[in-house]
Amino acid sequence: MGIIRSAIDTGSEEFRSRYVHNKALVAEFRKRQEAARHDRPARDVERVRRQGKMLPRERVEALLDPGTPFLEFSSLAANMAYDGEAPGASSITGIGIVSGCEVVIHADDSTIKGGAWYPLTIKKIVRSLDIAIENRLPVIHLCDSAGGFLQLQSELFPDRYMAGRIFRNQAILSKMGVKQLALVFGHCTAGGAYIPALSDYSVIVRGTGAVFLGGPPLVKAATGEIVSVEDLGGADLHTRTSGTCDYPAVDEADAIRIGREIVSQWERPSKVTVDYVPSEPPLYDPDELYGIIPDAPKKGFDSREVIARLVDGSRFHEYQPAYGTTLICGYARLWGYRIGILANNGVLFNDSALKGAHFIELCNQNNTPILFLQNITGYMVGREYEAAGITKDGAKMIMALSCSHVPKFTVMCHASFGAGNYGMCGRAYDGRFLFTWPNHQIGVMGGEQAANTLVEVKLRQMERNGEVVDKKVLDEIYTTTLAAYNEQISAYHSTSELWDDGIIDPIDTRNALGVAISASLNAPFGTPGNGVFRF
Amino acid sequence: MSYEIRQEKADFHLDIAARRPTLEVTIAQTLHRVEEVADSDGRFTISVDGRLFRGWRLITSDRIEIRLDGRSFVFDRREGVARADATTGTGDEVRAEMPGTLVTRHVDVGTQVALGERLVTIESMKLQVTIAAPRAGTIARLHIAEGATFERGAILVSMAPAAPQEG
Amino acid sequence: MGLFNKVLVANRGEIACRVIGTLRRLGIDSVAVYHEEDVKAPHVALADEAVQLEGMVPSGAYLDSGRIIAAAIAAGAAAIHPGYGFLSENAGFAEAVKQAGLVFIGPDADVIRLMGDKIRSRDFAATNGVPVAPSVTEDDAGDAFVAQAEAIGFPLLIKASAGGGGKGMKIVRNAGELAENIALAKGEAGRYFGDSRVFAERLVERPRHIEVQVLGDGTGNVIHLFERECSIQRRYQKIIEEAPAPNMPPELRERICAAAVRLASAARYLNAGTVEFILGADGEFYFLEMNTRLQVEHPVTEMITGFDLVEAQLRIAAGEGLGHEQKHIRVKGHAIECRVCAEEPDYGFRPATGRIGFLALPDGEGVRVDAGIVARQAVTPAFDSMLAKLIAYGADRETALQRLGEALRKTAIMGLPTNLDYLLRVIRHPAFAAGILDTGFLERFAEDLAMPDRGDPTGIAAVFAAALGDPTFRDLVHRVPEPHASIGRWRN
Repeated sequence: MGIIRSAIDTGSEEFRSRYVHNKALVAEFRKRQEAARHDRPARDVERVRRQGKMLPRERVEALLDPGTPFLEFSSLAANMAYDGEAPGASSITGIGIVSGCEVVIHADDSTIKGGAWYPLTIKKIVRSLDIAIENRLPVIHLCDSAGGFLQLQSELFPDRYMAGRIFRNQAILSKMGVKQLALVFGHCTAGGAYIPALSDYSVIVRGTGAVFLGGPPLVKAATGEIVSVEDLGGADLHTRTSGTCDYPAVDEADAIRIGREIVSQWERPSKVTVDYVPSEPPLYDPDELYGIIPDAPKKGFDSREVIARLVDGSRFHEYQPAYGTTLICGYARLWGYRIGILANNGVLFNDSALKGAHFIELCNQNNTPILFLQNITGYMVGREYEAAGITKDGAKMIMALSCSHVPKFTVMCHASFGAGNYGMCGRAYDGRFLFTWPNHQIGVMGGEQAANTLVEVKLRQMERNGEVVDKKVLDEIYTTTLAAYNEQISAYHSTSELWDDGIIDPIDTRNALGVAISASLNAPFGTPGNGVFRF
Repeated sequence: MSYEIRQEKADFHLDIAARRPTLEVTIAQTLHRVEEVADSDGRFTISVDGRLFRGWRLITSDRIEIRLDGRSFVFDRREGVARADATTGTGDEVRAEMPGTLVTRHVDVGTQVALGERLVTIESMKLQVTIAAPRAGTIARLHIAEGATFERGAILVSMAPAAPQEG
Repeated sequence: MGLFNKVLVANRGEIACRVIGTLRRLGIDSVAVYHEEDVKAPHVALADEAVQLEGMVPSGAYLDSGRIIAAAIAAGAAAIHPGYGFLSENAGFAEAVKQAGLVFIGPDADVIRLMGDKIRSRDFAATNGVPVAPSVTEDDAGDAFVAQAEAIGFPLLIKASAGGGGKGMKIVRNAGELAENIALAKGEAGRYFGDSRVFAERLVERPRHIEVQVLGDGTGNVIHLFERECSIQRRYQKIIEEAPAPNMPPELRERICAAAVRLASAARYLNAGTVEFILGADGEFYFLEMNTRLQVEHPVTEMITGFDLVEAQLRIAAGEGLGHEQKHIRVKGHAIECRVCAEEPDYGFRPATGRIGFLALPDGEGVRVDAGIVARQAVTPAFDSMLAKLIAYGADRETALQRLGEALRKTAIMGLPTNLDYLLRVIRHPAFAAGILDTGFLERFAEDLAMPDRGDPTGIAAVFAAALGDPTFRDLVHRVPEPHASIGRWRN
């Protein structure tokens, strides 16, 4: 495979200004992330310390094998919801190595409202369990939650993908033979009590761990019975009498030791064998990505330059290099795994859409996981293109990728507008993982486009009603629409709503994808097959 | 997660910082590069920070002995060492898990017992079982006389409350 | 008469193995005896025949003279070699062996008895012109005590006749202090022991333990094989010995050896023996005792003289005489021995027990190992804690020392604590290298000889060697899959 020849001039003014711009974006991302992870009211942290407990991140660190990566998901989930009351959606989820085993970790964060589950907390937990199901990854639950956040119960309780889905997913995982371990550090109240109960193994810490459907106040209210936490659902009750939990632990460190020992007993999964060679780092420094990513959504870039800073040895076998050139397709290796890459290099035309659909088919035929690097403002519109069948050609891409049986991964690199989001494996297309760069914007259309469209609509409405067209009103509509829209299409909004698996620093993309691809190989690839392509 | 190994009175905490291209481990805030060069018949060769060390290693179920440069080093394998175990409980009462007859008392009131030391032997369902101390402590009371019968859940032995421990 | 056809070795461990080795070389059949606990011991495997000694506690078995003699007769052995320890200095045993019509490889019972008696042997030495430490007791001297004490010369040690432990003990360095110190000592002795009698003896400062190997034919012909230095002692037991003694003026060597020969000759000494002296920093030496057997440290003498002392013992016992003239015996080179013991030098030399899980013994030029251990062998409190002797020979002391250090480094006895580390620390001590030795050496340099810091590169390497041998750590290192192992610690 040939090495991509980079045309980037790292000494250029453009490179330097983009570099500064993107570094600032990443600094802002890191600042928000740091706050979401660590800014907690002092009294909540003190309470945790007083109880002899570890902070949630300390638990995760203690659980992981030393010197191994932890791919955290959605660290900024809920960052634009609930007035910022639930940073990280009050939970930590991610993939890490425990006793040599790839696992999904889900940890409640009791330093936020006692670890109560907000609607987005539940969305985040359900997503982590979906990841476990899709990739057949064992799950370790680090339980410490007061239960559902009652004030928002209607948004977290009744629907299909709400709280009940957590337990449904747990049952499905067990049925699939995918192991689960619950380490009960704090309370598992109400529905949360089912987490250890539905785990194949559970450990509970004496003194602080408790599992019950109804806590002491609820019991008192319901039946008048007065009972202590320990007697109602403590370690001794559940490991000696009820059998709800399996192992009592003297403290959190002991629970983690027992947990690690349990995981070390688990059979190692036989992973899907894909073409693999020992890896080599990219020839070009990934740090240069900062100087490549443009400083405005409208500006484009050659996605080969991004590929060159992601893949092993910066080597890339480009497919159809001369045809449909607004979509770059080809094979490369990432952390040693062979992958197919589809990367936007402009608007999707008929030929680029056909090339993309064909290359997806080739990857399926070749059992090669696919990486989508999205930077798409849409499919080409206009009479000429409609006449040439741009809609049915776009539909071919959607058909090919929806029916694709190899794992798919998406990185939102810059822009994702309109139907291009679909054809390039947007969130709806069951990619195994989807990550977003901080500069990224996503929406049905771009901000200015949307504001102009809405002004256009308003103008016509006013004209219909015979109103005098007030330029000032229209300007105001334009400004407010644009502001609101820009907030909605930002990466922070997207990640707040869990439309992705988290914002990542562009230079972390290679590692994130390495962990993701490795995880995906735990589940067998599906059966090949397609629906009807419209030719 | 850090790995612990004990040498006489000193504990060593080994934190793996990296595995590739060579193993890097931190001990007491110093990073060391370690490579296992050879290992056969008790003879090992390792490289630490670029220096080769050749010695002998004896591994038994509870210890690892190293002989290196004319010096001997003995390490506990801590996993094999008894640790505080939550299954043994902190309660003061030892109860019968099934009805039966008390056959022998092995301790008296005031006896100091270690964790796991036998307290009484009971017979139930034609099977004699020795009940072990759930923790170290002092016997406060023996509730059942030798030869007497008891019901499931009966308190067999009470231990004096444990002194509060410093965290 | 030729050498014996068959010899029973009434011992165990390294010395039994060593004796059997010479028997084999000389074509003499060997008979080992053993207690049940030693059934797998190397001396049993090494011997041509082995007889189990029934029904005794382990150490008692090797002291059971009746059964041992019976075993020798039953096996058809003509002689018994007692080794050292056990029955080797038991006059009754020597007699019983003789009465049973067998040859006891060692001196006559009378000489064993004479030398086994502290007071008689001291008198015997004094009578025969061998210096003994001058002393005078208050009982004997009466009013002349102070004058007689002064006549001994200074420094002097005043001790309570009834006591010990330093109570009532005074060191006097000149005549002016004598009377006053005697009074003080008497006062203390009276208070502590209710008996104020004291005695005075010459204080030997910085005493060295020097001993001379002799061979006698029983008729007064005695040759010596020069001296050994055995000053490195812990708990009054030797752990490092060498020959010849370092920093020994030839004239002094000659006088000490001559004194030893004089004593043995006067006793009409038969077979191999050792005359022990205490040598002061002033060059004065005094008779200590005579050991009427082969010594543990005999190999250093063998290495510098070319003698096989066991062979010499056999030939003398068989009536072949000394076979050597003194003038032909020369010292060539230097030899140092150290005793490898199951003990913990860093914990007051407390004896240790356990099972030898791994054994590697050194070899190489000038290195001799006298060992009676095998891998998997249990070391119990039933016997002496000595496991093996490492002896190194070189053209000079420096070479011998260097080889001994190398030999110690190449030795591994694992599964139980040993003094291997400690021995290396001792022989590497600058004062030891300089050959400035005395019996207080180990105590004086205790601080230098304590366990060194373990945070040095070797100590850290040992931690890694141990960790890499522990499956738990290995799992932690090796079970991490790719690409995670390559990515290493990373947080997004």
